[in-house]
Amino acid sequence: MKIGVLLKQVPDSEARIKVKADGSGIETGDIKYVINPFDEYGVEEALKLKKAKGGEVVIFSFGPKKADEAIRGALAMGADRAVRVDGTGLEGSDNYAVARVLAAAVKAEGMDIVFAGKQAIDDDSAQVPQLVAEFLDWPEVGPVETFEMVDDTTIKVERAIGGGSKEVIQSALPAVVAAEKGLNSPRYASLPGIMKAKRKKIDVKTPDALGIPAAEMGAGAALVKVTKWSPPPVRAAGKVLKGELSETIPQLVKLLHEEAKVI
Amino acid sequence: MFDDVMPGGGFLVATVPLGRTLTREKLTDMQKEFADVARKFVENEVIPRVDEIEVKAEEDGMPLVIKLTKQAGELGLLAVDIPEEYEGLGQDKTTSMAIAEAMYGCASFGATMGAHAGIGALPITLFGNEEQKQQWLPKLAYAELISSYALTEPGSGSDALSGRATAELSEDGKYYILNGEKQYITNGSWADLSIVFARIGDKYTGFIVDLHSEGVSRGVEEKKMGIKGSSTCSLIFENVKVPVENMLGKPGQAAAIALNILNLGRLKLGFGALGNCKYAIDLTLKFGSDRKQFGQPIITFDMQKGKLADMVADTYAVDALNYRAVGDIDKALEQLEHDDTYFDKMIQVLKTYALECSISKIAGSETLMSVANSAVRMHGGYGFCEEYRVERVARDNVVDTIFEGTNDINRLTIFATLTQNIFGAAMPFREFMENLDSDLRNGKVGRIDAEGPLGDEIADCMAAKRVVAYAIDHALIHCGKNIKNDQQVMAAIADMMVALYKMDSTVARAHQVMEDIGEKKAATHLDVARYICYKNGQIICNLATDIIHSVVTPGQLSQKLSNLKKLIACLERPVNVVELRRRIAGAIIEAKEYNL
Repeated sequence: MKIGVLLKQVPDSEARIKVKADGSGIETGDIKYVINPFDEYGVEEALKLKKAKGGEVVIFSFGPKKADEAIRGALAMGADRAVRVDGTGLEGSDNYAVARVLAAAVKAEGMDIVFAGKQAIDDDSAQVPQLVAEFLDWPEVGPVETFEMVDDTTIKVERAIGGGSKEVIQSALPAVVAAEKGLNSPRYASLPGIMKAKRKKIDVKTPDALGIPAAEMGAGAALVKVTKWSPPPVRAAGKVLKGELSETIPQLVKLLHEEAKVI
Repeated sequence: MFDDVMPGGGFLVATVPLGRTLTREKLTDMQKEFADVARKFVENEVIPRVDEIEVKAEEDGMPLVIKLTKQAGELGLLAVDIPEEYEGLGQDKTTSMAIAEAMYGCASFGATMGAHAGIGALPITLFGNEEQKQQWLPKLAYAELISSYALTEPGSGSDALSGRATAELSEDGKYYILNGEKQYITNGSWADLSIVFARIGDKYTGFIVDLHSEGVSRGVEEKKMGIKGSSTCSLIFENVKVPVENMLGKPGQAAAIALNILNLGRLKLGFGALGNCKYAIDLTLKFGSDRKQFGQPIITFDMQKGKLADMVADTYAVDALNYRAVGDIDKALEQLEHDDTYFDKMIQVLKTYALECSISKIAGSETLMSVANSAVRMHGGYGFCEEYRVERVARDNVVDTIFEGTNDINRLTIFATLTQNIFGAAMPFREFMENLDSDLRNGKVGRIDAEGPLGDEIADCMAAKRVVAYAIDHALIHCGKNIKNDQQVMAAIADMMVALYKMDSTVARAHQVMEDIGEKKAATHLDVARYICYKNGQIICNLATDIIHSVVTPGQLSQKLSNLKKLIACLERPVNVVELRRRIAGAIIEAKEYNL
């Protein structure tokens, strides 16, 4: 089975993010980067599937050379090889463009199934898995909490649909499967795995090589444009109501009703 | 002055090794990735279960700490030192030390792993023959089997080679019959094998002993002050048949095995302590930032800042000297040809670094002791409660000053190695002293001129070297052969060497960082270097004064003291230590973690 995984390198969730003074992005200097945690579930599920069915696991990533660190992390976990899409003028590409080149890369490699995280924890847009499936003309299921193979060409997954209910979906392959937290517990890269990963291949492909003109990528061609970045507003200090309970309770009710508007 | 730093204390008479030491900033990507795996594993799998480990909980039919050790084994974390020919990863010592550093936060787990992969497996790597390595190392590399090391006996502790266990050749010549009792054996209750030392006649010899053999019994668990989750018990051998092919090395080689294994063990202990220093600092920073009294976070009070700065600076010095030592060892090992005698040559190299390894052990364990002590006090009453992690760090650390040779024994090692190299002319001590004496005679004693933002600190180091050398020279002249009875003087000399190695290594590292990222960004590194030089300079001056007072005859004392004062005067310069401590602490509080 040829198993693909979409992977993005993102800032560590514990990194202290600072927005650049001009609002054009974040300060990237001292930030530690990691594999998008949701993508890690995708890698783990892909490796489990490979163990059960044989074949190979290929990582697909859109990003600069630096992203190789995250890709190597997935290779160290046990993935076999990787394709990274990179080139000049790609900065500012929107989800649409990214999904388009990733789909082209997946197509070029001829995958039977593609796993992805349900969203990347940096921009949280949660669009790429669906868009990639659309460009491939494949079904997409997600965010999935369980995954199993019914037979060699059919999968069965569960996803939460609110209120504690689960939706059980069966789909034909090929398909894109977007992972939810808890799908599995991703393995640690082992030390021998890290050493082996150094020798595994990361193919770098340009959009042009994948049949997508560079002019249709990058900030200039983006359908969705990021106009400005700003940090979340600083939370105001809480209020402490002082006095006898008989006085403070009505005050609290009033504030909850009029100010917080929750009751 | 000499640019070439000889092992075995050569830093005493050499220039500050600017740009010539390994620092953590120079670790390779792979070394960092390995350390990250170790860190993640301990953070996610071990620390959340530290209470269960402490009560020796079991899971899946085995002690939890062993289950975790085996998991760490599967990740390859225990195979780092084992050569590739025996299914290990064959990495250098720096890699193995960086991993040891990263595994902080649960000393019970650390001790269990260390006894297995360090003193339990290393003797086979270094002293085993081909068959023994083939037989045991692949199983030890991934913790399929758990190992231990049995040297100490009830009557033989610091006098480590005085053990009385016996090994007698059986009549058929196939076995050694082992009898005796070994004490305080880490992993004793659950190890599958042990490196056991016993006498064949008068020849003290090492053996690889299968602990599942008939005649092996295990004593009750010791009730300890710390590392409660590790196993410590005695091993009793009654007519245990040990196949002759399990003899390690040659008859009578126990001393070589035992002492050389300890060198690396001591260095690793220094690295483990380093990790726990950072852990205690981070716990304290977090607590002290959240905890408010008198309306402000307690960490922002000036007295707490002072303590924090000491914790940070002392930790930085241990970091600098640890990586320097292991970097030098690896550099020496890289020169060796990989032929049949590789491991013999490796043992020789390790031997030459015995002094630096002892310094790492003393500096690491004693810095952690003071850091943990401050951490507990800065937590106030909370720090005395088990629920808070610093309480455990403080308890667990105590044994660091005891095992792998007590710190006092290590002080003797430092002294013995140093004098051996001075008398054996392995280091140019005499030339150094001739220059010094001639400067004193000609009234030319002064600070050297050194340029750059660390020029003063470089001059401090060079002035401190002269103070230390002067005191050592007089101790050796006046005590002569009798110095063996003057253990207090020997300890003072060892402590001066520790302090000097801290200064020298810290300045070298801070200088390197400054070259790499520029003076502005390296500001805290430079402040730390300043403070470490000031602080250790003071220690050195006090000890040297003590020594001169104690060893010089009354008739010569005033002249010698006046010479010493001239040398000490070279270390005296204005340093606003209070302000320096505030700056160091402020930077770390701002960063919210130990980030140097």
